[in-house]
Amino acid sequence: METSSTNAQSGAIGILDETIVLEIARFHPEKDTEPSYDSFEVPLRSDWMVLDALNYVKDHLDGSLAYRWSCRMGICGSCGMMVNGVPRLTCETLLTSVAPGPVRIGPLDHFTVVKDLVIEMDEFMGKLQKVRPWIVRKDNYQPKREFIQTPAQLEVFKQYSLCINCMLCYAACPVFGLDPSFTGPAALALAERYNLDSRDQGAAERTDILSQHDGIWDCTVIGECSEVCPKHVDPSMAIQQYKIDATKDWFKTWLMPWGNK
Amino acid sequence: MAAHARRSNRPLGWVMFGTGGFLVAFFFPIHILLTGVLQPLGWVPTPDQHHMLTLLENPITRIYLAILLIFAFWHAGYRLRDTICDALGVRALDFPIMLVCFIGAAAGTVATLWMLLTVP
Repeated sequence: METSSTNAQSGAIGILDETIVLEIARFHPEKDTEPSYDSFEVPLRSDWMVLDALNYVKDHLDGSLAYRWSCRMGICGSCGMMVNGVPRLTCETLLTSVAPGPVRIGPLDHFTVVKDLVIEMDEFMGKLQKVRPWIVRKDNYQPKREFIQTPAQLEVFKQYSLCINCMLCYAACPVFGLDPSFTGPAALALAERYNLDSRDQGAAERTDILSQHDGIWDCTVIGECSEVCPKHVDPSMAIQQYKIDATKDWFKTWLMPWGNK
Repeated sequence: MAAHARRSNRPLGWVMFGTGGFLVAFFFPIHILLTGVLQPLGWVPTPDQHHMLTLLENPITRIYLAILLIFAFWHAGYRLRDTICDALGVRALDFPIMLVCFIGAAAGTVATLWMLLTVP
């Protein structure tokens, strides 16, 4: 294993005369039955994120390391990993914030690992699709121009539209960890985003789907999803708001069955 | 509608849970402060049993206590159900656990009503 040398560049911006050890989870599905951890010593730079350190490992120490990343600016949601046991976007986590190390980096909790730090996303994508995350119109209205929406109407759902599908909330959610059939925070926040959209008419359809046992009612309001969300979407609040609407709907259904549909 | 039929019945329990949570969070600290701290320290006068029974003669007091305690029991039952299921990892046993917790809450409800109705 190589040991990086930063002294040669000492004095340049961001260079510290130190190194930090990364303990990175490794798992090869065709060879391993259990994940293991490999240690790598990388330069500790004040202008590096954890993702930069992973890229250093990939470029200089072990090219076989597998992980996802893309934008490097907290937009694409690809580089979510467990950093010292906490779900974080590695492109937004300063390396110095986890110094002196060692820093343990693993794949997101509660997901099947494809290889090393790469997780299986198909199940999550299925959950997103299940909540019908698009504008639903009952009237089959074909607009000839844009729907008009006031800033106040936009403000109602804007927060829930900021989700980047990084899945940190799923890794943080103990309920999803115990019961993978739980629809989960991001998908439920996305459903609420469309329910609150003044242009949408699909709330009843979504309630039929999301008011089932594996929908909103599995959430036990632990709130870790909102704690780790890098975009402050607050999925926990979205789910509680949804519960209020679903409860009103449930009582209406039972107390006024003739008024339903 | 098939999807409609599969909807969870949790809203009923959740309303009791949410209302109980609000009442417990709002009023219990006041009672604990009064009867658990200020009265034992002698900072406020401690009413004797006669005073307490006189207070209970007012139907508003009984209604207040009934609402506060009954919703608190259902709040506890709902929360205990989730806590047992998740902490012990036995979500598969949700139904019997729910039964035990909600029967406990119902027993608390009956006991509260019986006491409030029978205290002279």
